Amino acid sequence: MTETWGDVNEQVKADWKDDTTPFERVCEIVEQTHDGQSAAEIADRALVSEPTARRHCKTLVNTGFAETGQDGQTTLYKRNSDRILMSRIRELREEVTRPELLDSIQEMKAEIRRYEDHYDAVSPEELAQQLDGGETEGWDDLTAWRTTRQNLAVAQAALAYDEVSHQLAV
Amino acid sequence: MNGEDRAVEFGPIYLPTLQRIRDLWLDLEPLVDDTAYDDVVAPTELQISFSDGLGDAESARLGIQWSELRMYSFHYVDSDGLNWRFDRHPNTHTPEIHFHPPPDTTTTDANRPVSA
Repeated sequence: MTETWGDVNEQVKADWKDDTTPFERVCEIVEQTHDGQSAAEIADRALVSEPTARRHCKTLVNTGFAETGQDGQTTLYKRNSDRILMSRIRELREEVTRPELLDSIQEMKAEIRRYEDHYDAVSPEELAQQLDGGETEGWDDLTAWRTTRQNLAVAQAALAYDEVSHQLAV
Repeated sequence: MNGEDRAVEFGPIYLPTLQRIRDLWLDLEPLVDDTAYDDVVAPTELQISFSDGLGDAESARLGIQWSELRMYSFHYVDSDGLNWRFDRHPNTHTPEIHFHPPPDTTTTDANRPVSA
């Protein structure tokens, strides 16, 4: 059973390699890389050689799709976080009215206050330090807290962006 | 959140990957009816609705989570009440990548590894 599933994974990788160019695979992998990774790590995931991964990553940085970080001598690559934020702000401005955005911001603030009160912690980082391995509900709340904190920040940024564009339009 | 057996950090939801998953489903699966986040402003999962389900089920839905740490959960529910998940997340009792078969999807036992 286990071996059969292992074969499925290998088969999917082989199909992916057949259906895509090395550049497309590097794009897909970088698109899904939030923590910075070295060209060697990207190469391993994208099924390309390390020089190929490095060359394509540099191209992606030049076009603004990716950004770099540094770990000692090693250059790390990841998806450009500004771009993710801007496309998310655009999405919210297109799909949500201002009153809906304000309502949602209030709800998210209330949710975060509930976590703060329930765990007597000021941040998800503080909660993480309190949790042990088996505390499933706590770990779920930690993920929800971090996700909501990000969603709240993005919603507030969208609101601010909206106000700026109104001001500029006057 | 539907990860009742999570025991270490899953990580915040990562929307770029959910967008790619949505695009792939729309591209590859004719039975997709609709795709949406559970909440437009405060998304915690991607929901994909199908105009058919397993067996006699007339419709089905996949709830999909994917995190910044590349952990994931695919939760299937259909109009006949069939309910299963396959997940990748660190936990105390099974391999990281595993399957929660029906009908015990929401319990911690009866997990099956899916990794090689």
